Amino acid sequence: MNTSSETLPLVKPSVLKRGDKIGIVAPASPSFEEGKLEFAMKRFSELGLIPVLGDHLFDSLGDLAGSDKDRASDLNKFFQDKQIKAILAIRGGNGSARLLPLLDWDAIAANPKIIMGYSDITALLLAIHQKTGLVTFHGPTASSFFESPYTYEYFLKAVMQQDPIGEIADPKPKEWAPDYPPTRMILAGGQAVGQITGGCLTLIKQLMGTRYEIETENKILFIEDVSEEPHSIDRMITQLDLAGKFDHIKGLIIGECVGCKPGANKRERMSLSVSIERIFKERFTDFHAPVVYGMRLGHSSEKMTLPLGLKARLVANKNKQSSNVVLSIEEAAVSP
Amino acid sequence: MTTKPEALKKGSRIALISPASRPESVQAVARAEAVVEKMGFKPVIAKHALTINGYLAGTDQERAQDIMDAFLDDSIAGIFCLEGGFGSIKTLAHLDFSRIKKHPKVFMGSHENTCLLTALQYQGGMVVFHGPNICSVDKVECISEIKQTLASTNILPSITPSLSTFPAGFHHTPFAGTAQGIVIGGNMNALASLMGTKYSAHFTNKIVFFCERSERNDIIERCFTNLHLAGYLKRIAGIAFGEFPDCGPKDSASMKSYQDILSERVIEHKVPTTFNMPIGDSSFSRVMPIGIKAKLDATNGKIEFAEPALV
Repeated sequence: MNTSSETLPLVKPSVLKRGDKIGIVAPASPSFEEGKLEFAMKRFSELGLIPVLGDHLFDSLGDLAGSDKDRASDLNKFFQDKQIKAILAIRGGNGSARLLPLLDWDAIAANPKIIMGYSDITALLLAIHQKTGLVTFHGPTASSFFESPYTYEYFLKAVMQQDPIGEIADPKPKEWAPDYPPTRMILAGGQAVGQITGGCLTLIKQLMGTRYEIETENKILFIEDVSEEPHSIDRMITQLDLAGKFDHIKGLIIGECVGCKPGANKRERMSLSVSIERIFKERFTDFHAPVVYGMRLGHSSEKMTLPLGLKARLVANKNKQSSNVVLSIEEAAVSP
Repeated sequence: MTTKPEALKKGSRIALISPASRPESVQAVARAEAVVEKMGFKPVIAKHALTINGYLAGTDQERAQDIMDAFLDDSIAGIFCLEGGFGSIKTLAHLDFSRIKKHPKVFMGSHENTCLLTALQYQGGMVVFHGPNICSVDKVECISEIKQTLASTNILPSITPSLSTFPAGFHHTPFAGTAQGIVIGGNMNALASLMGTKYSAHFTNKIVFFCERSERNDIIERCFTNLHLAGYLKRIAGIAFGEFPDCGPKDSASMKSYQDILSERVIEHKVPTTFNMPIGDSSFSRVMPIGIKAKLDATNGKIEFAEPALV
């Protein structure tokens, strides 16, 4: 049922250059404030990029930025338009998965270009990557790429230069009251090389049993989520496990899951006694491959950009004296 | 082939298990015992019914052991879940369905226990029952509904909107029509949690009932979109939406209710669908057999069963 990306050659989009036009779309929820885009525009112009706004960027319909048809149409137009070199989602939220049957897949395959976002945008990133072989970018949205120097730096490294991203560093640690979890908690040691794939767990879950279901075999998988109850994270992980999605992965990176605490999601209430850290430890201690928890790749203002499909290396060495984690992207994400 | 278990009789021994979260208290279990005795059955509390492991009633192995023990003990005629919550899905990998299959018996639960109902129907090959978890039974009508349904070898009475939940007993039909097929269903999140696994429900040509509790509109939307993307909504025979207590926007931005969102989809796929059926995990809920033939009359808000559920 699934189209295997392993049979598809990897397609790298062209590097983003000064003078390039970039399309800004809202495939999921609308921006809370229209004015939020202004600061992003200023940053784009400093980079020499020319933003082009989707026709329905500021539409609003419930929690969606307009109808499915209109949101899909904005996305399809930007893929069809050869002048547009990159497509950035303005925000995640909810609604990307609804667009998948409405996308112009031929146009996407014929016009490979940078597409970037995270959270709900995971649905687009995974589906487009797996169905066309295109390297898609799990990274900031148009309204968050300038949120921190770290995020900005990795955005540039991923799409505006031609060298491999290489070894990924951590954001500068806070001297006092450091954020928890630490960025590189080793749950299981080991070394892995493989194509990297992943995204927001809620979206990976939402595509299960569909033709867009995530392919994890021989991959380094990364996951993260936001404001989900620990039991809800536990259920999603269990679902992936029952579907065999962890059986043949080369490595696992669990990103920081911002606000995933009991009582966080205004839904079901559960005992306050279990943290996601405990859930991850129970399941992944003694895992067959390296598992690292805490990297900033999701809903924190500091996030790295991870190109889906690229060869990555994950090393997690732990002994009594010290621990050492390396994550590196080994090949260039973009073509000249 | 789906096996129909034997109907319960006066004095039947019923195992009370906690496959998901722990019941609220030792008293909640004592109350559940009283409820089962009132039905005329003999309650047998499972070993780990009150074990505490975070939000779970014991480890995955312990909860699975209680399920296996109850199925393999031939003196036990039926198994009732005490509590929903979370965790049934984690027992699945620890269950031996080939052994369970040889001991079909009445099994009832709801909410998270939909995971077990679905797995038991397909992997265990038996008719199962979606009805209130016993700790939430607090009405005398509910006690007689459970007793009468699970002791009956006749065709069960049809399901129509209840006057107890709304005095005018209305139903809402976004897409009219009738459908025939095997009835399956349960809690929406639990059904979605099995997607892509070997335990997943088979929705094609089925009459499917959905219910949910304390959920946000946008999450209900995600679950239904999952079924849509899997291609099930164009192959489903008919849908009966049941009880959705405490569901709504909560802190999500959606101004569209889950009813609006679900209605749009069933209209798109032309699925005969009715809302407000008395199916769920409350004391107003009817007990729904899963795995038998029925007819859904969405136009008139009615499910009629075509065969008995038990022998």
